[in-house]
Amino acid sequence: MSDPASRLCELARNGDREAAGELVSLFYERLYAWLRRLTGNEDDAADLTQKTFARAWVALASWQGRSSFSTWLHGIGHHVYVDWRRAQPPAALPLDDWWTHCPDDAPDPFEKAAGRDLAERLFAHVERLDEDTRQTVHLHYYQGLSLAETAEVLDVATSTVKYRLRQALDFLKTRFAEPKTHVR
Amino acid sequence: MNDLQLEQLLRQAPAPQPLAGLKEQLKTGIRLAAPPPERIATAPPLWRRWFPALSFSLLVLGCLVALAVQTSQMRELRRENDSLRAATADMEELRRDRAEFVRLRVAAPDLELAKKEHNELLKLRGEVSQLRTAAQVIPGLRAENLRLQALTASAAPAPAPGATLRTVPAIRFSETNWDFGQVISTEPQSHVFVVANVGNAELEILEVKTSCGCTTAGAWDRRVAPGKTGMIPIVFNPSKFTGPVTKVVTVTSNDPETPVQKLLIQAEISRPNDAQP
Repeated sequence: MSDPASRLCELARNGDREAAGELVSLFYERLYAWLRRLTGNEDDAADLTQKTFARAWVALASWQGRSSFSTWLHGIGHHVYVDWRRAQPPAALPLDDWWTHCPDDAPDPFEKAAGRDLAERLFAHVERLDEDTRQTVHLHYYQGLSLAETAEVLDVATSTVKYRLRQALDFLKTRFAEPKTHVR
Repeated sequence: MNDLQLEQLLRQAPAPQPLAGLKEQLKTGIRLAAPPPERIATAPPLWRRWFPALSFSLLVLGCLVALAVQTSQMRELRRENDSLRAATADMEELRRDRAEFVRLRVAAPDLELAKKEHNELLKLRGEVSQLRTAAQVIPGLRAENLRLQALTASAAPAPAPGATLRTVPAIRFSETNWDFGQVISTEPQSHVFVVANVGNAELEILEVKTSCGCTTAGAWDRRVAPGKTGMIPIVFNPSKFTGPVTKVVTVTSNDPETPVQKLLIQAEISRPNDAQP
């Protein structure tokens, strides 16, 4: 428990609201970005972010520090997202182009038009993966979690994570091996 | 496009920016649970602190008791085993003894019968010896009887005056027939016939003649005064006979009424190897 998040978490467990606010400042953007990509709209992403933190405060007493606070928070967010998704009718799950809502001053691959086009095609193909593989790609590549952390959040084995990522990469490679076509 | 390029592109995905005011909303919504109460450090009771040691000690003690009991039982079994082995070593001898016992048990009825017969025989022998003793007294009694008869005759009242007094001897024998009983052929038998003169004149025994060379008469009393008795010894040699034998001894005297008197001797003769024990 040497990282700042763990220290703040320990303080928050003892009722320190300022420490809890610091934890919000540290993690809310990353959590929101993840849920925004998954849900496909800003309102639901904001709502799920609030629910995730609300559950985290309730469950904070049971956090024992076996994993990092970030991983633990992602695990709560995953369950919140799954509950939300089950409550949605399949037809009401819009897949928007979340990458189009991102700022233009992002670094590569957006500097060049060709690179930007390639990345957009790639993100679009990711959204067409099956749900489990899609969540795995989001956590590992977009959120930057390790294989073990991804497995812990999804509550699966590390080998399952590897298998899903392999499937995703193979799928994407086949898409990019085809002649260039517009995805949408 | 290879895996590496794909992964690089994926890792560089842009992050959507949160809505304005979300951070404040999140901070406002912080609802921390009350801190957990501090545990009061209370020392556990004494028995609870010592429970592991006590339970282990009890377990060890139980094991020791079980071990002691088992050791005792094993020792007893070993001793029993040794005794059984020793008994097994004498098994051959025991078998022989048992066979002998069974044989004796089968022969037991015959043995009992033989014992009974033996006892009966001993009893009979005793009776025979008693009778023989009694028989030895009989000649004396007879002789006494004769003597008394002779005295009675001599003391008879004198004849009436004028009557002719005739003086004659009168011969009487204690017995005219003598049975030696069962005798063994190798044992000569002897008997003395007692003769009495019951007359009033002297009795003269002129001759004692036997019917067989096996029977001889000893030196007999040739004169017997009135009222007196004499003896005629006879010896019988049964060596040449088997079974029942009767011999005659003829006595000649001057008794006018019985000048010749025949005496009989009898015997049941058996060979020595036929004799019963």
